[in-house]
Amino acid sequence: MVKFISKRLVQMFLLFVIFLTILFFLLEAQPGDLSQQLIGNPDIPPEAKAQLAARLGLDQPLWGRYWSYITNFFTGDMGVALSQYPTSVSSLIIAALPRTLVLFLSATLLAYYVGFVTGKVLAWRRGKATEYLLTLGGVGLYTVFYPWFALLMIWALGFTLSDWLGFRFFPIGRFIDTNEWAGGPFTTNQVFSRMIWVAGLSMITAAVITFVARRRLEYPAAIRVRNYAFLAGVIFPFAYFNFFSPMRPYAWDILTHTALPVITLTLVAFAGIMLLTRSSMLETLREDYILTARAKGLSEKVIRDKHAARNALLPVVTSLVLALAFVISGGIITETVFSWPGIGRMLFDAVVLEDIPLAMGALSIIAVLALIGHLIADILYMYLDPRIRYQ
Amino acid sequence: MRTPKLSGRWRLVVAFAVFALVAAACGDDDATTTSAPGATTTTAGGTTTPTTQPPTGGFVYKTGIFQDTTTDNFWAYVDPASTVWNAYVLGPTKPALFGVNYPGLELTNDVAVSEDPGVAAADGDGFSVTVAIRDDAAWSDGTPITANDVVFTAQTVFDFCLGGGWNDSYQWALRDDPDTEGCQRTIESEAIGLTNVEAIDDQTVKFTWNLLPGLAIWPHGPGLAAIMPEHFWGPVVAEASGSDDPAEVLYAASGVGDPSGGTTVFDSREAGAFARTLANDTYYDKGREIISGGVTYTTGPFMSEQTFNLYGDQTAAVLALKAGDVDFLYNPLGLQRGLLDQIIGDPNLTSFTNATNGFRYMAFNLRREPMSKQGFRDAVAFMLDKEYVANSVLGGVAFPLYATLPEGNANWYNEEVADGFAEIYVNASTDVRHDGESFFVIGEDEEGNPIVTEETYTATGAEARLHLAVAALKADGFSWPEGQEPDFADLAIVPGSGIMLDGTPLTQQLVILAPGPAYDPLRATYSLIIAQALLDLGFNARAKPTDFNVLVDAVFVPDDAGNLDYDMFLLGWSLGNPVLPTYHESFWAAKNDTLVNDGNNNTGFDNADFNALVEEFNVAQTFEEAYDIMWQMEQILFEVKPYIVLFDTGIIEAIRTASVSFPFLESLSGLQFGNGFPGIVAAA
Repeated sequence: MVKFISKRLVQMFLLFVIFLTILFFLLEAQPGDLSQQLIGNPDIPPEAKAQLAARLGLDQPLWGRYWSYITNFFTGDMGVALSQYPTSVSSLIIAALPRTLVLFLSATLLAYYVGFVTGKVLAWRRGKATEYLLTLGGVGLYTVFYPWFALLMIWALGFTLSDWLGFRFFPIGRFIDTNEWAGGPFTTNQVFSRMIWVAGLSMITAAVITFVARRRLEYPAAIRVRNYAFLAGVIFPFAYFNFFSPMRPYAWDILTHTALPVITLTLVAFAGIMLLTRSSMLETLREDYILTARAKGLSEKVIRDKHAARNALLPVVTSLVLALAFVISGGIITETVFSWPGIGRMLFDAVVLEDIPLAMGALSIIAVLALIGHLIADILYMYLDPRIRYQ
Repeated sequence: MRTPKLSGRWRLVVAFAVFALVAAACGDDDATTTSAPGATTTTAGGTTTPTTQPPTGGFVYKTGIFQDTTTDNFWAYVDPASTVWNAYVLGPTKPALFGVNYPGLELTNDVAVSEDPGVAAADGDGFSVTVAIRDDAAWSDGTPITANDVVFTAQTVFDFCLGGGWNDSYQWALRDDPDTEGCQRTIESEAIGLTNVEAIDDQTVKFTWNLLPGLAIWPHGPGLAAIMPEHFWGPVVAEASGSDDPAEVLYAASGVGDPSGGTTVFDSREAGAFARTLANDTYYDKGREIISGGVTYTTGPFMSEQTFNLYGDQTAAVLALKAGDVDFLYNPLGLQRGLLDQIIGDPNLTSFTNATNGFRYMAFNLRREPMSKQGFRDAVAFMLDKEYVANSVLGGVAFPLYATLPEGNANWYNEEVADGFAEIYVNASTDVRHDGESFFVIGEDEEGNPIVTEETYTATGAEARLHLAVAALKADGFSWPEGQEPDFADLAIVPGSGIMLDGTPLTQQLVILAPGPAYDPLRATYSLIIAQALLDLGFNARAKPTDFNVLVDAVFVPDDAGNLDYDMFLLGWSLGNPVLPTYHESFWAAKNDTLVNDGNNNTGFDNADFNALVEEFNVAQTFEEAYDIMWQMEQILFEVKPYIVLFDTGIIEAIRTASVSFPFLESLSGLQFGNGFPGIVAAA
C-alpha cells in the first residue's frame, strides 16, 4: 500500500507539473496577455508595474517566464491579483474557499445521499409506477436549464412563498444578511471555517468510531454504534453552535441562506447519481450471490441494502470522490445567481477581466484537489472491493 | 440472535469523542476580539469591523451592488482602487472646498465660506487664490476641518508622487526640489501647476500656481479635490515617508476609523460580502437648503446607516428589490431593459430613465490609409443613418448622437449647434449625383419600358447618402474602375467594387473591432452595419467581434514595434466631471497621443487648431469663455471626424418608493452618479 501511494504521489507530481505547463502556455497563447494587461492597466502605478514585471519574470523571455512561474508557484507565491491590486492571489483564494466549501460540500453530499437512496429504490421497484415517476421527475430536473431553474427557485421559494406565508423562509440570494453581520464580532469566513471544522471533525470522529466498532464488535452492535455515532455526528455541530458557541446567530444566518441553493443544486444533481446507482444495482441484482441470498431466506431489505446496494456502491463512491475534488471549483452559475461569492465566481471574474495570475492560481488549486481526489478514489476502491489490488 | 447492548467501555469512547469535539471546537472562539459599541475591532482574515460612530435614529438605507469594494482606504480609492463600487461607498465620506449641487450640476461651496471660488490673481512670480474655510466645518470626530488639512493633502500628493485622481486634482508644477527625485510626474515644466499650497491661518488656505490657471485648474482642480484629515493620516504619512515606496505603504494602510467630512462615515466592509456606512450626524451642512435645477431640498443625512449588499445577478437583485431587501440598486450601466417588466406595475417600486454622461463611438486609426483620408471618414459618416439604426435596428433602446457632449449635461449642451450637426445627416439631400449629373426621374414609355425622363429630382435618404459618400471619396482621391462605382437603383444600393486610392487598388481588408454581442449587442450590431456600408462602397471590410479587454489592449497598447495595430473600432466613454468637461484634451489633444505620451488619444488625431483651442480652454477664466471654446472644439471634431459619435442609451434605475424617497429622480447618469445620494435620501 505504502509503495503504491508513494508511486502515485510521484505520478501526481509529474502530472501536476505537466498541467501547470499546459495551463501556462495556454494562457500565454491567448490574446491580451499578462504583460499587455500590466502595461495597459492605468490603475497600476508605473513603478509598481516594473516591480511586478520583474518579480513575475515578465521582463524575461518566454522560457524565463515559465521557469519563474513554476518556481514562484512551488514556493507558495501565486502572485498578485491584477484586478484587485495589490491583494495577493492566495489571500483571495483563502477568502473565497470556505464559502464554496460549505455550499457545494453540503449540496454534493446531500445530492449523493438522495441520489443513492432513490437509485436503490428505483432498481428494486423496477417496472412499477415509482420507477417511472422518479425517473421522469429526476431526468426532467437533471436536464432543466439550470440558470432558469435557479431563478425560478428564488422566485418561487424566496419571493412568492414569502408573500403567501407572510414571512421569509428562504432569503433571496446572497449568503448572509448584512444587517445581522455589519458591526458584528465575526467575519463570515471565521464562521464558515468554524462550521467546516466542527462538521468535519464530527464526521471524522463518527467514522473512526464506526471503523473501530466494526473491528471490535459483532453485528448488530457494530451497526448500532455506527448509527449512534453518525447521528451524534450530525447532531453535534447543531448542538455545538446552539449551546456552546457565540457564533450561533451567524451560523444560523448562513444555514438559512444555504438552504435554497443546496435544495436547488440537490434537485438538479441527484438524478444523475440516482440513475448511476440504478444501473449499478440492476447489474448487481443479476449476480448469483443475490440469488443465493434469496435462497437463504433473507429479508428483502437485507438483500437490497446489505448485499446489493453495497456492491453497487463502487461507481457511486468513485463519482462522489471525484465530485468532491471539484467542489472547490464551485459553480459559476450557482454562485452568480445566488450571489454567493466563492471560487467559481472568482474564477469567472478572473477570466473575464483577464486577471491571469488569479485564474492560474484558482485553476492550479482545483487541479491539486482533483489529483488528491483521484488518489483517495483509488485507495477507497481497495477498501470497498477487496478483489481490487494495485501493483 | 443475540443483541448485545453497548458496553460501558463503548459509552466511554463515545463520551470521550464528544468531549474531544467540544474541546476542539471551543478552542479558539475567543481569538476573535469583540468590541463594545464605539470601539474599533480588527479581526483576522484581513477584514475589519470598526464602529466609529453608533447609529442614531433614522432608517437603514439598504442598497445593492454588483461588484465587491476593494478598499477602505480613501487615498487608495482615488488612485489605484478607483472603481465605481469603491466610489459608492467612500465617495460621500470626504469634504472638499467646493462641491456640486444636483441635479442642476452647479458649483457650490462645501467647506469654503463663499460660493464664489474667485479667480487667481498675480502674486509675485506666479498667480494665487485665497480661500476662506468655514469655522463650523468639522470632521465626524469633532475635530475642525482646517486649512492645515488642505495643505497636508496637497503636500502628501506632492511628496509621495500620488497618481490617478490625486494628480488630476492637485497638479503640481515640477520644482527644483530634492523631494521630487524619482517622482514619476509627467507635467511639463511650462504647464500650469501648483507651486505652493499654504495655510495662512486655520481658516484660510492659499494656492499658488506658476501660470494663470484656467477653470480646469481652478476651481476644478484642488477646489473640488477631497480633503484628508491630518490628525488621522498624519502618523501614517510620517511612517510611510521613511519607506522605500511611501505611496504603496499609504495605500496599504487601513482606513478604519478615518473621520468623515461628508454625509456618511465609513464603518466596515467584508470582502465578498458587504460594506456599511453610518450617517455622519455631526455633518456641518445638515439642514442646508439647496436650490438646484429647479428643485429645492434640504440636506441630511436622514438615514442612520447605509448597507451595500453584494449581488451577483441582476434578476435576483430585482427580486430582492421587490421583496424589500434593498431600496436601490447601484449599477453604472443601469438595469437591464428586460427587467423593467418586473418593476413596472409593482406599486412599491418606481423605475426611471436618465440621460447618461457618455457616448458610444467609432474611431479611426488616422495613422493608416485609407482611414487617414478625410473623404473616407466623411463617406462613412454619410453612409450611417443613425436615426434608422437607433430607432429601427436597435429597437429604440438607443438614441443617436451627433456631438460628443451629452444632451443630459444641460449646462454645457448647445442645442442649436448640436441640432445643426444632426441636420446635415438626418435630412441629407443632394441635387447632384456623384458623377456630377442630375437625378432624372425614371418614367415609362408607351410599352411600359423604363426610360429616363428630363424631369429632375432631389435625392434624399439612402440614395442621397450614397451619392454624398461617393462624392466625398472621389474628392479625396478614391476611384473605381469604369462601371464599378456604387450606385442606387430600384430603391437599393448597388455595391461598388475595385476601389482605388490615387489609382492604386485598395485590396487590404479593413477590420472594425467591436465588443461582442454578449458584451454589448448594440455596438456589435452597429459594427456589422458599418462593415456593410464599407462593402457597399467597394471596400474590403469586415466587423470583428472582440473580447472587450482584448479590444482595449489592441487599440490602446502599442505592439512590440511601437504601433497601434487596428483600423477602426467601436468603444464608449463614460465622461468625468460634468460641471467642467475636460475630456476633449484627454481624447484628442496631440500631446495626449497614446504613442507619444501614453495618453488616451489613440487615433493619432493632431489638429493644430484643435490643439490651440485646448490650450485656450485650459486658461479660460469664465464659463462663457470655456463654453464657447468647447463648442469650437466640437465643431472641429464634427468636421474632421477622428471619432464618429454613434449613440448612447439612457440609464434605467429603480427605487423602492415604499421605503425611500428622493427630492428628485431626474439627474444626469441617474442616482448612481451621485453615489446614491445618501445625504438626501429619506424614508418614504
